[in-house]
Amino acid sequence: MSKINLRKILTMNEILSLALVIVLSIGFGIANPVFFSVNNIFSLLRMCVLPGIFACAVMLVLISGGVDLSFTWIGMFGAYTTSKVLSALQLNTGFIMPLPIVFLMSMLIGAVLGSFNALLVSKFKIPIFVATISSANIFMGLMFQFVGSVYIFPDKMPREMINFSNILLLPQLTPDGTVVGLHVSVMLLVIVFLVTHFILKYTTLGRGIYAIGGDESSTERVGFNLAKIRVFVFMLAGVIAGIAGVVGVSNIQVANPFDFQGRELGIIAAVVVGGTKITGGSGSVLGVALGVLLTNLITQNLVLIGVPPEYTRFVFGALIIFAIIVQSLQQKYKLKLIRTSTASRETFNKKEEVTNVV
Amino acid sequence: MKTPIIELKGISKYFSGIRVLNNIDLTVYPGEVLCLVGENGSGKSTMIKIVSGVFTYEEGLLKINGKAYPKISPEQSINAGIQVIYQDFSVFHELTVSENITMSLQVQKRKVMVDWKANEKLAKKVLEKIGISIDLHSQVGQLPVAQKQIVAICRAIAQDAKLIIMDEPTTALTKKEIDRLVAIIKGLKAQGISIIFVSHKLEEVFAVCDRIAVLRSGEMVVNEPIETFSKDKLVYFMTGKEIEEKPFRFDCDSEEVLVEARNISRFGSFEDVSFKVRAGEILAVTGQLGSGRTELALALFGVEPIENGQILVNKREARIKSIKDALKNGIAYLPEDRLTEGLLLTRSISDNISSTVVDKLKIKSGIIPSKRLADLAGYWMTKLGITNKPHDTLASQFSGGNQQRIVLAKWLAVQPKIFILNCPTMGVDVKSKSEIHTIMQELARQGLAIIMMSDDVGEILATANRVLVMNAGRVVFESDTQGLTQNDLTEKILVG
Repeated sequence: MSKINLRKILTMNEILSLALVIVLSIGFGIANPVFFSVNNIFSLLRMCVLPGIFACAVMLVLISGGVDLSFTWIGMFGAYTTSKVLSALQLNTGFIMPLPIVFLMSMLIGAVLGSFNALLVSKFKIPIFVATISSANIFMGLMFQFVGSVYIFPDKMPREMINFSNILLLPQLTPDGTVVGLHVSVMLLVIVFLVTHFILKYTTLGRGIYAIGGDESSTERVGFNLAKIRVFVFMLAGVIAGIAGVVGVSNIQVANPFDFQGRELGIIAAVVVGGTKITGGSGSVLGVALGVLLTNLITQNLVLIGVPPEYTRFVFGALIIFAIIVQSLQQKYKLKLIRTSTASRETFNKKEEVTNVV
Repeated sequence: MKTPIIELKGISKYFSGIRVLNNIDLTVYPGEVLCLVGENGSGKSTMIKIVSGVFTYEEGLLKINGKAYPKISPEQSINAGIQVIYQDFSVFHELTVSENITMSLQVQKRKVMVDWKANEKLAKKVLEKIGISIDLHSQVGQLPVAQKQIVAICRAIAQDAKLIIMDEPTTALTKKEIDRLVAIIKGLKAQGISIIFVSHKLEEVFAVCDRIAVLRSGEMVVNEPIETFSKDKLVYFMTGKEIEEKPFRFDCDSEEVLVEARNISRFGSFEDVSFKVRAGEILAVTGQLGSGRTELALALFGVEPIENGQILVNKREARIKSIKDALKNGIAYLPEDRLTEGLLLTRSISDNISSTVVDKLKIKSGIIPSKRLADLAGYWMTKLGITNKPHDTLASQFSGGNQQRIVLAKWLAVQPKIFILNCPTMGVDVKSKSEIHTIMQELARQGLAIIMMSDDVGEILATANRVLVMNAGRVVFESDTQGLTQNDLTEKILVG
């Protein structure tokens, strides 16, 4: 019995990142005990929020069978537009928009932009990779043209967004007078994870996302409406990107339209390292969470063990390759288990007496 | 008289003005097993797609359970109890057995939420109904092919199927698994579920069906109870001709041993295998799934080389560690799965046939004139009787029998001395099958040594002059085929 459990553990998608997180945490901690300080951990968690929320959007589309490269621009479009509109509103009327509505505005924009992606992929059958590179550029262009491209500085930013960036849970006063604590956005991250997990696991449409990523024609034969699933996935991803956008902009208290540029690959890498297959059809929120934790753990702490910051990129790249190799080895191992599995064939053959039960 | 589950009356279907189905009449009663037989292009899949609602029809009337459907959608067809299991089983490899079984029901009932516990219970119940035990939590992608098929059947049952149409269900199964499938079908029959069993394979047709319907060129040629049929009669109706297979006799007197294996082994694949094949012989190698016969072929061809023992070609030891080595020794290999291993589906027929000898077709400057490719293709198309289509036709556009001939041509182009063929007539219509056998026998007469892996006992006895039975990597039986009966051989394969 324990032999079968060992096999199951070894082939679990999330095992690699979990193992690495544990090993590296211990390693970093030994190298520099500062690692285990509460403040450091809180800081690490806060670092994970923005990539973590974006990663959920990426994961959804990746499970459905493709790589989305437009999510950062959707997020920024939503957040920048919201900031600009509310900033103007605030300056002219003094009206301060409550935080939930701030988020809702960005989420709505994200939904609309996401549905454009769905149109490209579903109606015009453009592969997701190509469709989202195009849409990213379209969104970027539209934003600069019709919304603006200037920075919005803290004095003009919507008040609630500024406030949001300062809310700390479990605040503690340190000896030198500063206040440290767990930022509230970590709670938001947890909520996004939970909701995404719920949708993926407990709704039929969510399971349809896995199906369409597994095999499109089988999905159709099973009765799913392919277009419906695509619209659902891309709109949901857009909404989540919208949330991430607001968090990102609030964090630095400045609406800088170029802020998220270039971060796409790091987030996609975190999702893949966490076990979501690049080919689609499988993936879990747990895996994504671990992947994001792992990548940020490394980026934050390489410096603790004396690795110069220039090498962070190198380590990052090596990590991705390592993760893909392990995934590929896991695949080979799984296939070997089928071929040499006398155990499964024996149980199968034992039930030779087919009972014609009514 | 029970209401038929489906009734087709005078159904005709046109594609761009061309009539592909002509005035089809067919009735299936509850609990009946109908075998739908027909060569590629006969209109079988069109008919199935009409019943399952994927295609519309222009003339006639379709009735399901007594209700008339001048037009029917896939959803309506499923709701009426029609289920189709395609050759790929339409399963999701990354998802569990339980989920695969219940997913389509989930969609059909338009459920928004997923109740995992209830679904598991249902999946378990369905598995018990069929009488097979599979771990509900295993990933379907990790199951052997036969179990994937069981999952597909369970899915159909879960949706309360009244008629299950199985498209070539036995293509990837071994004899034992086919027997189990037959038992399952009989069990379903007893529960009043009807089955349409689409197949090329004559033995199975006779083992499981109540009625046989034969389609040829879009017409229902015959539709009668099984008792009125004999094998010859069936072949006649399918092809319009009488096909007689003369058993192969080893004529050559030569003692020239072209290839010999001495105690060859490969860990995890086969162990201590020895045999000799002379010029002009056809040696059949058979055994159940896992017997090591495919691995043996791959070893001789250099794909998965031997680790111990010797392979001798023309009485000299040959070191075969790669396909290049095999080709140098005059060995060619026709793979088991032509679609993924034998053909470049997106390339033309001439590209495919010349792919093995492209080097030799260069002119001095290193360019390969396309005329040379076309000439080579033309030569083999005539020689092997491949349908006469233009040379730039894609390989994917040929029927199974023709595709197999293309792969044969490709390997014959290298002029091998030793030809290994792995299940050469799998998924091939009856006429092409006998023609491929004739080609093999002709090659043997020309002095090649042929090794054929096969599951088909009838094929082995008709085509080969010697047979080797393998079990779990070892040779357990070797004999001349003359005088060997089908029952004897089948027994040796199963019992070892």
